[in-house]
Amino acid sequence: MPLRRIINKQLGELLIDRGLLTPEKLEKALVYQRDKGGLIGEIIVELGFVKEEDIAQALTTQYGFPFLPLGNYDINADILSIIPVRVAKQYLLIPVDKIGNNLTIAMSNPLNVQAVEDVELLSGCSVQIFVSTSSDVKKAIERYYKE
Amino acid sequence: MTKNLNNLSLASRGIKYKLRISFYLMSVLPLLVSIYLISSYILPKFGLKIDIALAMSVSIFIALIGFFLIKQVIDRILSVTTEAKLIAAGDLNRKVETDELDEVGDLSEALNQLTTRIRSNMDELKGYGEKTSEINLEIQRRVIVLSSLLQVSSLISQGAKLDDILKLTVEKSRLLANSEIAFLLYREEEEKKCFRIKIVDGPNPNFLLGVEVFLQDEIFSKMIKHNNPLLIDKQSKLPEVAKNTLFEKFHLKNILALPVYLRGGVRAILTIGNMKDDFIYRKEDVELLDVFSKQVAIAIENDLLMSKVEKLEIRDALTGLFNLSYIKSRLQEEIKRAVAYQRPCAFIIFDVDHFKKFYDNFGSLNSEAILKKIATLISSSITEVDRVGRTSDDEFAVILPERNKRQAHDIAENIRKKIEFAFREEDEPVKRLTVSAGISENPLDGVTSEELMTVACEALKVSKEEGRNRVVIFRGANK
Repeated sequence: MPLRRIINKQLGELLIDRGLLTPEKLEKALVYQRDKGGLIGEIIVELGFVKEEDIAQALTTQYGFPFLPLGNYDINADILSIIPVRVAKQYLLIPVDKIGNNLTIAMSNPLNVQAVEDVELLSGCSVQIFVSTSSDVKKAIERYYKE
Repeated sequence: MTKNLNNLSLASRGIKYKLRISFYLMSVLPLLVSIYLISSYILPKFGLKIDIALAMSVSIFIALIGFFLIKQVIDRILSVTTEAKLIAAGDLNRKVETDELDEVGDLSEALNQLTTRIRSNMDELKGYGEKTSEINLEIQRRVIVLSSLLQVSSLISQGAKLDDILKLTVEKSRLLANSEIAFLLYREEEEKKCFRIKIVDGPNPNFLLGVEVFLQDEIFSKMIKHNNPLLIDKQSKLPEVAKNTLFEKFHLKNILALPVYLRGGVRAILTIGNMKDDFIYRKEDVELLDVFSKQVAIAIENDLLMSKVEKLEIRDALTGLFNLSYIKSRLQEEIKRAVAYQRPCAFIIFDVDHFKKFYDNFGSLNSEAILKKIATLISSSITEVDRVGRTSDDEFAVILPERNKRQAHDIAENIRKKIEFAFREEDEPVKRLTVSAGISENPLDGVTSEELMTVACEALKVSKEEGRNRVVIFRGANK
């Protein structure tokens, strides 16, 4: 199992650090979250503060996760069975490839360490993470798991 | 010598014997001596010679007359004595005959008066005795009724099932007023207008089971409206038609029914009845059945409150941990939160190994103590956001929000070790308690509390099969 980087930084802080978000806007997003619920990443996008692609970009540059534009990628149906649809939907991730004992997944929030651990436990493989935008992952889940 | 002298004594002899001796001494002997002296010495001097045989006969004849008179007196005394003895033996109906007005006659008369007085006193005593035994019977009946009430109350306070309490109450009500049958008409909900037989006690009660009573039935509606007992017996003033209707309905000639009031409404009707002719219910019967009807009301009220409390209850009484129903609903909430925030939520079930053996060996008090200890060990090993509950006798459940399976495994393993450590010093192997655990997680194992509980239970089963005192995170080894 590869050494996992310890990721403590919240997504909001990361975006502020990279100059994509102001603390005021983050505060607004947090208030919105308190009132209506939801995930901070999605709220920031919904409120139009940051684009989905920018978040993915920030994660890529900050933590070195490779970016995978899921829309241009074909997933082999066989490997979908490794991760049940409820897990994919809840953690917003999708398996994209498996070579030997290495499973590659695309997910919108690679900072969700617990989700990655679950996938490792479930598949018994070491997991390679690619970053994708939330909407791409959602679309892919809709498309592939339906088939 | 003294013995011989005693034998000669007259002191111990009967009056008859004594009189005979005195008669001989007073008359026969002196007479014979006189005759002998007169005939031997005096009469020859005058030249008279008396025939000794004639003199003897005359003397004996006179003596016999004396003897006869004395015998008469003695016989009467003896007959009075015999009568007195018989009376003393208990035959108070005897009467001593009193023809003559002498002292014996007076004695007999006195004896008769005494007997009459004793007899009247005895009759009086007998009357008192009968009254006392009647009172005793009544007291006994009341004691039985009161002890029945006590039995019913203790069932209520023990928290017995409502049906058991009602059954006992109806059974005991049948003891009142020579009842052949007792039954309880009941309506399940206050809104319902129809009372049905819920419990019946008596011979061949089956025909009653289909009987229904409606609130608008005139006789019953009056009873309910005025909160009066419904009394049908020889004295009741109900019209014959109404009586006949009830007779057809319940097959009973005499009926005593009391409404059971609950929060202002009548929830049940307690009824007893019999088939006796010329029967009259006493005031006490009504009062006692009223007490029984109050007991029924208490029992029903208690049951309603208990079921309400059970719904509200979220804690386990023994350990103070949450109970199963709370854990279930809480787990469902946590799963919803987990789904909304893309987080995991883990669930652990712990089961004490060989708990039954421990219980059989050391009894309920010790078992409760160790369950409390284990409860403390578990709750001290989790954080404030986690929830721990006792879900059955020796089963504990922990909800771990924001934890995935690996983290839950670490926590469960930590608890397992703590418990093993806590009991490791016990002398007897049965007391060295351990726990087995099964883990499930949302989203890996499901999206409802039922799914997570089932999977955790299956994993627990695996951990028991694999030898206990371990934590299992998947239900099958191959998964």
